[in-house]
Amino acid sequence: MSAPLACRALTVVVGGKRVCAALDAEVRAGELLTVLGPNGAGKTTLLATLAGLRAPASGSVLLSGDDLRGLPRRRIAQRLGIMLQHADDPFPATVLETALIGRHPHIGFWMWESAEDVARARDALAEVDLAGFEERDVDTLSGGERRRLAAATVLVQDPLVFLLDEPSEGLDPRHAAQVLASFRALADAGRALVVAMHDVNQAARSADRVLMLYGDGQTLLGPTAQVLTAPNLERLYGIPLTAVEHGGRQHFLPR
Amino acid sequence: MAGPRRALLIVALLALVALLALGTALGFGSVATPPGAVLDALLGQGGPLVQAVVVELRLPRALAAFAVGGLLALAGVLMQVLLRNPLADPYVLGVSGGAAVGALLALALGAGSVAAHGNAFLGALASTLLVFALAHSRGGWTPTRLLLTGVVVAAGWAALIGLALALAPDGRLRTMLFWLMGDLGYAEHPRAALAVLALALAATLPFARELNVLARGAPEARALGVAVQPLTLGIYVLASLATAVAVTQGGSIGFVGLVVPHMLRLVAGADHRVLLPAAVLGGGALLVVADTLARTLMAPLLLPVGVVTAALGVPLFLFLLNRSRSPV
Repeated sequence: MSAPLACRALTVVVGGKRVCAALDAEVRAGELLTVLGPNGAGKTTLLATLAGLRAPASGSVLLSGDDLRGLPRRRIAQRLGIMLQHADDPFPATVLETALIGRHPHIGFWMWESAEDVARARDALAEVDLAGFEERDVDTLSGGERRRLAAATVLVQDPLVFLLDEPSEGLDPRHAAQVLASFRALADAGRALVVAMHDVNQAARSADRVLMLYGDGQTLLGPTAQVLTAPNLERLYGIPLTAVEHGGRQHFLPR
Repeated sequence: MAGPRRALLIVALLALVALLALGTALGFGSVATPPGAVLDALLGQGGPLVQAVVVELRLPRALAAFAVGGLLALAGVLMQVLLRNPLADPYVLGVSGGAAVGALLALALGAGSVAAHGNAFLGALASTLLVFALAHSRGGWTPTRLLLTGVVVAAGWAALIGLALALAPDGRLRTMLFWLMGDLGYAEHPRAALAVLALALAATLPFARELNVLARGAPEARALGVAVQPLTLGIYVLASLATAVAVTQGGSIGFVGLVVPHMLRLVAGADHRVLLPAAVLGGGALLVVADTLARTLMAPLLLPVGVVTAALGVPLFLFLLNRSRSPV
């Protein structure tokens, strides 16, 4: 069986800068792959390309073996969900309405959301600790609550492949851990996840493999324990780091 | 999320309001006609004078007002989603400016109302094509690019309107000003406008849920499986056509297209499955009431209907805005 998500000889260029060159990679079912890289290295661009929202310079992206270019958007959205970095709503909407939007690719053209869809949305809101917020207007949420709502929306979409762009950005430590644990549990349940983030220690805790984007087209991909080392991270971020052993795991601190 | 039952209830209530508005329009005028007589006249009974007044004079005008109001409110909803801008209205992309320039040129040259209507429609279409071509020229178009292009083209039309007013002979100024403020005096053939209204609603309603997703932004909508490009193109063409037909019938009637969508969002929520039919009914009803008032308030003097829509709509909207908990 082909991997849920794969890229073949993928070259992504943004603003004349290479994000990756001829990258071959697969994300297997049950796997969480974390993308690390400094600001502007192209994490968001890479995720958008993997979601088919942006055309690659060359190469292809395969969704369960099917080339994205041959799939209609709706078919892609049934199998692949992406949590984008910024969402703003110029029109009023409640929290529950916003979460329910995630069901859109699964509901027939003429159908309304069913009671089951509503139940899924409520469950997802509870999962990100937004139970009781259903009727609140999205405008009244804090930044971190909006971020959790975006996470709930992609949970409601319930795809096989999740692409998450800094899902814990702006969350307090408890909710960041909670949301990442929810996504980790999805990987353990057989989904495939690609998560772009900045928190190296969270990556060490949750990722099966790590992809480093150096910002010059060079990339490094491998199992977390092999790739997440102080020398690699120093090269990635350009700052000196110390690795500290605690609780049987490596922690990285700026020196 | 409204749920189909609540949606039906809201739409049914608004349909009732629209029917009441139409009934009122048929009953009031230079001769007040009691409801019973109006019904008789509609059924082809009663005196010939009452029949003539109700069926031949008031009914076409009331239906035209309904069609124009419905078209403007529908176009307003669509433009606001297309541009993701709550301040957008059917005229923001210059459709009404183009129509006005066409109509005013005809009026300034002394042409009759038929020529003015034809010219208005041509002007609206020309403006739509111009804005689309300019906004589209390099790379795709973003809402911001489309909006800026439309606003600038509209400013160009405004200058031409000013020029036409400055150069027009005094005797024709009044007609021209009335056209600019919106006037249903010439709208005597409502069938075409009603047909366009029905078609526009039927064409957009199946895509109502996609509009809900699109309102959250193009990237989010694509990520959730919406074919954004054909959808936005369709909305643009349809909203422009609806506006062109409305403006051709009734001149640049302001306010309905901007504020009716917001009033309904405050009352019924932002779900387009409710909002689209509600806008048609609510916009239509508001304009029917406004036109009836415009005809009767200072009779035999006719007020421009655009003035009345604003006089009715401003306090109503501010009341609803004040009452609602959530910021728009």
